[in-house]
Amino acid sequence: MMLRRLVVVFVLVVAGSASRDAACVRAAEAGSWDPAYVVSVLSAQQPAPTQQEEFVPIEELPPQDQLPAAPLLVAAYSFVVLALFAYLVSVARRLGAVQHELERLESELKRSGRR
Amino acid sequence: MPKWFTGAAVLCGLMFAVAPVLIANAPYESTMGLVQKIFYVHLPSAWVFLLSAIVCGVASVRFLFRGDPRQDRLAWAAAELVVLFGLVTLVTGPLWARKAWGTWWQWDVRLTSSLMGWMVAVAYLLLRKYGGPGSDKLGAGLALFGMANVPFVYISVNYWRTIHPATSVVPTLPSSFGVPLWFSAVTFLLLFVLLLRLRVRLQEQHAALDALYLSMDA
Amino acid sequence: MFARIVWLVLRKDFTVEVRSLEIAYTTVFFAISCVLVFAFALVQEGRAPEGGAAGILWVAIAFAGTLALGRTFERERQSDTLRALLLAPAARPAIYVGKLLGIVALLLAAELLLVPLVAFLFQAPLLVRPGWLATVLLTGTIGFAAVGTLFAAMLVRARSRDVLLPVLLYPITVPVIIAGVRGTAALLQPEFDPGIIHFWLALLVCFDVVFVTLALWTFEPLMTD
Repeated sequence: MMLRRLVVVFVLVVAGSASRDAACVRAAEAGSWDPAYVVSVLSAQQPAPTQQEEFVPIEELPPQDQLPAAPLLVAAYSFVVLALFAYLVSVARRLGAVQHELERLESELKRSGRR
Repeated sequence: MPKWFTGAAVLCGLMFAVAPVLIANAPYESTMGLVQKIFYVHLPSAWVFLLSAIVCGVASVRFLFRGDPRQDRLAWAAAELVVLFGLVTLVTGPLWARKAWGTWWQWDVRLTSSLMGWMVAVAYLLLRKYGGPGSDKLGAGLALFGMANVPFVYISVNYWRTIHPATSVVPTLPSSFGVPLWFSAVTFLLLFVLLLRLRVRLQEQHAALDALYLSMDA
Repeated sequence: MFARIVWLVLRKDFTVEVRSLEIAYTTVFFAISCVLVFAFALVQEGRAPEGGAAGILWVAIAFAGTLALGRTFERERQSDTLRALLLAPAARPAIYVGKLLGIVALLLAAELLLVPLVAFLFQAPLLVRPGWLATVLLTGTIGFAAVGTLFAAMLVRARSRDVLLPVLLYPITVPVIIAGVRGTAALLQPEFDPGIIHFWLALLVCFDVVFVTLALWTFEPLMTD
């Protein structure tokens, strides 16, 4: 029963737009399991965009197939911030070291020039 | 440093502070949901990755045939940014793909050619760091060959992929990304210009130091 | 004049090599060891993995090629003979072509041994279409050696050149490796499809033409101090 329900939901999702799907799913859940009804709903739908036939939207996957998106998102953004920050710090440190040596050398040159 | 640098740095910092708010408020993409928001850093960094690669290549060719040390400094600085932004692109990409395609990595044309371009940039940096004297010319040659290589990598990977059909479907994205993407792209571009200027400055200071040491020896 | 310089450089390398055969022996033995390591790693329960032979052949060629390039130019470095060669009143591109032909000849000699060995150890029908295989190997080797000769020549003066040569060479020669492996793998298919071979051969020939031209063009500025 559960399987059949999933199949019908899947077919509806593939065929239709999001708002219509919601209505159909509601109708299906209300108990209209008559195949003729499903066919009539399907034929009433606009031709589906080709893209939609090729993958199942993530919300419609069974829960065990769904990956939590938040950790991936957090990982991506924290990596970007950390990488850019680390690079900035590295350039600043290298620049500081070179600047320091340059100043040291210049003052040394001045002193030796006076002598 | 030039006068515009401080102002631009402040502006860039402000934009980096505002960008997360804009991205958080952007509408959810209907098929991929939350994870699609990685896109707002992935695509701009990929663009900047490409831009710095072009800057590095052009500067290298000009250095090779004209011998202007300023072009060499620019090429080295740009190569470092190729590695930085390439790393950002290559790390955020799989994180997004894991959710959107269901796999971390695909031997798709763009992924493979980006990886190869990134490898050439890493090789360039290794060469500049450990190659010793003469590595500036060699690096310029490597950058030139790396640029000439791009179409070959693209064609070969493309054909290699088409005879091994893809196992998962890559959903094409809707064309309306809205304001946050462009805002993010401009922010990354500004950051690129600032980092490039800063890195060239480091190179200039190194050159000044070398000149000073030489004058001491003389 | 150009052809004569090419011939002189080639003959010089050949004469030096024939005296000791050092590079030829070490390169060939190294390539054979590579193939054996792959055989130990991949052949399980007496059966070779399907379609692995083409990849192993090309990996062995790439590894042995890097070794040969490194050794050839190390010899030129030892008594600074490369500098002498560059100081000679000869066109630089001709010197490059002479060196390139020497490397290609060496690698082809190694491949003569490698192909039967791979066919034997991995039970692959490599020798069914010898003409096609020779063409793929020749164009692929020229492409690999064209980039390799230039980089190895430039690296003669650099520090840590032994490590840097493969680091620089492999990312650039990826198209050659893909085309070589795919072209060879297409030859091993039971049903022969000339279209696929033609595509990979065309890609290899284009790569050769572009990279030999680029190398001839940049050899002069790159080798000038």
